[in-house]
Amino acid sequence: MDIKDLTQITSGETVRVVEINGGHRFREKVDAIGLRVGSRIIKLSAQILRGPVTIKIGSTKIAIGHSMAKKILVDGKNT
Amino acid sequence: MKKIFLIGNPNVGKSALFSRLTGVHVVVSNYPGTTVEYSKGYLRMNGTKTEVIDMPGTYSFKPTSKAEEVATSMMDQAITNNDSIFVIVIDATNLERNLNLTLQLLKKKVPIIIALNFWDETKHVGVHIDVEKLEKLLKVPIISTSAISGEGINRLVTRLKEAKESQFDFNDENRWEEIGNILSQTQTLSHRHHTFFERIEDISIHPLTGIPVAIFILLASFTIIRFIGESLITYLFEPLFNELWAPLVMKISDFLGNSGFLHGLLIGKLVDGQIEFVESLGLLTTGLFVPIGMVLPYVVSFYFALSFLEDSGYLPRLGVLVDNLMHKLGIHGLAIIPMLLGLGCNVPGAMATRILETRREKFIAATLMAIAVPCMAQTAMIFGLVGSHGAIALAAVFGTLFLVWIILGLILNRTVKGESPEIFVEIPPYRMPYFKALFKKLWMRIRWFLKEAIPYVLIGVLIVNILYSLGIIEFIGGLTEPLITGIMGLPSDAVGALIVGFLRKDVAVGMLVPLDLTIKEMIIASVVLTMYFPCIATFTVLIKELNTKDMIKASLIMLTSTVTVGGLLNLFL
Repeated sequence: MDIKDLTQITSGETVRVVEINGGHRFREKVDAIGLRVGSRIIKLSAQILRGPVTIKIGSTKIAIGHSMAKKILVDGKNT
Repeated sequence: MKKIFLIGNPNVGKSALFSRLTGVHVVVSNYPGTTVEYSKGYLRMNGTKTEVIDMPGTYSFKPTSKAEEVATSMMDQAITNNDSIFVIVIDATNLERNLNLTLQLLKKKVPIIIALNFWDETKHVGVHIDVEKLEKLLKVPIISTSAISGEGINRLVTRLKEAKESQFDFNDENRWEEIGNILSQTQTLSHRHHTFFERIEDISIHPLTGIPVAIFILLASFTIIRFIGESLITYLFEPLFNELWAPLVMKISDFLGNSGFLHGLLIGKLVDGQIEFVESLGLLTTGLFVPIGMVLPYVVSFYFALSFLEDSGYLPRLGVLVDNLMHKLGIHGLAIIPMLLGLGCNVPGAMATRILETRREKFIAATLMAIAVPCMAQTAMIFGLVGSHGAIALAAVFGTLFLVWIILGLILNRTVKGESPEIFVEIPPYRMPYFKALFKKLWMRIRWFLKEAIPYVLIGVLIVNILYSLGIIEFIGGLTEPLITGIMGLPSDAVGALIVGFLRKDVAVGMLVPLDLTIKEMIIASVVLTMYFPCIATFTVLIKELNTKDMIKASLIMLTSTVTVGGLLNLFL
């Protein structure tokens, strides 16, 4: 296991979500869009200066704020 | 069956499908007590008329925004009334996420039929769905559709009556496992090539290339807006007013004896015996020329460009790119949408603040928009009048407003209490807008402008005439002279324009023309007119959108920043 948060991996990497931190509301919000523990996601890009991170889940692309991205822990070695 | 509800995730082509099902007559209404809009139209078949309602797009029934709240409560109401069927619109290229909402809705025990939309796109993206199998699993009718080409729409309409409650049983706790299960039985993915749109998608959101692309798109939009607006004026509206309307009004003027009270009201002052559409200030002259001859052409071109950007899927990308900057102002990137809408008209701009979640964000976004974002009506007039003094004068006006937007945002971010959540937005694939739906939306926006603007302009012109003839404007001018002349350096006659500015900003800018202002005064007056107060229509919406207490706060911020900025411009220009 090589656990990092979403801001720490490089764009283009495919990873598996291992933990989602943050409040109930946040977890509900990401769940509705299909982002949950076990999802395979691709990090598409990150804006400079702690800007939003864009990821792809299935065929959905979403952009999430920097500190939201910090709450999503992923395993880079296990896809 | 009395009503048909269209429900689904955002960006699933719901509006295009709505457009297909309904005729030209579409009403956009606000959900009671909110500013969340939804469209309502009628489906005609076999001589009957059924109401079709396009619900705000939602990801789940655990609402996280006002629009989702409305979607949820509209649905609960429909379930209680038990007189509706639900058409779930699904993006076939994105089955997994769309099934999440679908399964939640299947649990609700309401008559359901599913439109598997964007069916034509599944071939391009290498998705194959076994519709029959899916229908058997979910136990409701499923029709593959392509709202844009029209494929499947007739089949959807004829099968509407087959809508039924689903007997599909599953444990909601295991919803995602269930979805995985359904997918493995019904969907196969194959390899495919990247489409042209997908390639430009990456360019427009990559930090290095995204910003140049954004600048290019905004400049191109601006050029198109000016081109369409100017062409409409030169080839349509100016000839119309000058060749047809002016001689007619001149006849009325002669008939009324070129003077007198009624003449003043209808025609206004003649300049060298002729009608001056901007300066005359009569109901039939300025009252009609300003909204129709000067502003409408730009309203048409602005909303055309904006609707295109909206429907193509570009705006969320712009939101992501500007997120960093907006964060420093206490709002996230998507707040660029109310700002862009505000450039058209502050009223829809104010309504669009509903996409923001917290009271703090809405307050900051609404205040910044109301103060520093000039609407198209005002911009068109400023271009027409200040523009003749050269590009530098224009740059001074809009540059000042932009600076005010940034500086005030920085201050509000430090002083307003509360929470500003981060951006969280789906980036939809680029799609060629469905032009029929786009023009329908454009037409609705234009109709709305005509309905809103013309009465206010006419009332404004009427009030000014009455106030002038009673000497009230001179009186207020004298009272406010220390502020207007002393601090901001404007002649006290300008107070007439400021009074009208409460009603309509375009007429107000027009009223500056006969004052023979210097360039400096013109610049200050344009900035002050934008900032001191939103027009009455925007004000009313803001009270509803924020609340009275926040609105009083916002108004105080408006007044103090106007005097400060007006004073500074007076000192330094």
